[in-house]
Amino acid sequence: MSDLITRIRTLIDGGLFPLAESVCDDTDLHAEGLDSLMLMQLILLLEQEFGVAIGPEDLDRENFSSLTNIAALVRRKGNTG
Amino acid sequence: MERATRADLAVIGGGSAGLCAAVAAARTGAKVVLIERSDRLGGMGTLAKVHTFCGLYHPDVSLPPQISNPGLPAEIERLMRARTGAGPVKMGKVYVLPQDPAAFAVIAQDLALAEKSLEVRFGATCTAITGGAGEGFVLETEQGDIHCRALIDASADAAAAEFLGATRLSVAAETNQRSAFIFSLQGVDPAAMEEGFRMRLALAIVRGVAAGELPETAMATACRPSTVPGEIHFTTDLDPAPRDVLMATGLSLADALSGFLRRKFPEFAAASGPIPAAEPGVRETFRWQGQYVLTAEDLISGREFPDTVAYATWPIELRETTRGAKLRFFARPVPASIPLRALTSAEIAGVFFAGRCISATHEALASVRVMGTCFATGQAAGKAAAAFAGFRSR
Repeated sequence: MSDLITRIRTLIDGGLFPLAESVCDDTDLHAEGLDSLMLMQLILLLEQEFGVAIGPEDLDRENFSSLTNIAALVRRKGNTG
Repeated sequence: MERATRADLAVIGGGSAGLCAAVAAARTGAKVVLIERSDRLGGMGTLAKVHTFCGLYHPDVSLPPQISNPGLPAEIERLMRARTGAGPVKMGKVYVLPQDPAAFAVIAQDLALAEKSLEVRFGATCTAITGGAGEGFVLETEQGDIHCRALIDASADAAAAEFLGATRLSVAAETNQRSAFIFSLQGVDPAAMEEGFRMRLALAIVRGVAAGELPETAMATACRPSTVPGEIHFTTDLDPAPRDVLMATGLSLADALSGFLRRKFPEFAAASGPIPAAEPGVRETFRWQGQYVLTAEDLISGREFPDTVAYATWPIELRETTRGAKLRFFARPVPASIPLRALTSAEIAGVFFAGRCISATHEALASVRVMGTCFATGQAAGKAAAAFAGFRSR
């Protein structure tokens, strides 16, 4: 699980926007600057990286509000080992 | 209709900065001529349909929204809120004021019309500027010459610097902040205004691009409800390109996106055709070299200046990649000082600048370019130029 969070963190930090060191697993990412545009980019990145398919039913802000919640979503969508 | 006009000062450009510069200067009693190339005042806030005023409020969002620059920024905020009925909105770590471009055009016009010593000339551009050696300036326009003692460049592109042979600051065009193209759709089902729906919309757009149903440029499209019921604004960032290319790309994109949405979502079945901006929302071109060049470090560290005349409150918002905005916040959530020297020519006495062409680095511009700050630098430049011409603020 923590491996997954590390991979998601790297994905966001390298591909979307820099995450401050103060951002922990439960920090509110929307408050850190994750806007709706970046969210779509994030969905594409997650799909590429983890081979999951994210659909309209998953588009709940809460699902993307922290590294923990994103990891939970990715796990629910399967294929993460 | 050739005519020569004498004025205390001339303002080039009637955008958010030029408007405030001209009105603030006229309020000192100075005779002011404002030249505007288009048919309306308000610049990006009207022509480009940029529908939020950023940079108006104190950067500490743990406090209720509070205006950081008194005077015209506060007046415009009040007038806009009275028209739209919408107050400031917290977006992440900033407050913004949703604004209606059509209402802003009227607010801007009324502010200008209220000043008896201000003359606005629409459809006017400079063809040459001479002077600057102590005897004032002559602006040549298609509508006649303007003789003035002081000059404010609020052209957003440091247009006057080129005519006067002054140093301009810029970065390579391909490094410029990306531009935005904005259009709106009206008659949209209210259900489409909900955030959840707009997220589905954004995902559908991303999928539409992947499926080849939409052009690649549609990828970076954000949608936001307007202050007008049933209207949604669509904002797409585009790669740096000349204005006419941006406009052509934007119009095609608006056409493709509105058709796509009408096909995919019943909420858009009865929507209007796209209502495009008259101009692309350009974020960066050329700036003046002033007596001081404002840097990102100044803003982030909260550096104070003895000649502070305006405050920046917006984070450094870099839009250089297709991944959207990269925000750098000030180290402490307090307004950052902008010195008068960054609005004053280092080379030519009597030349001041405001808005997007003030003396700032590429990174600092990414904070000070927003309309709320342009109101403030405009007002400050207007007062300074009036004082140069012998008029003091009342």
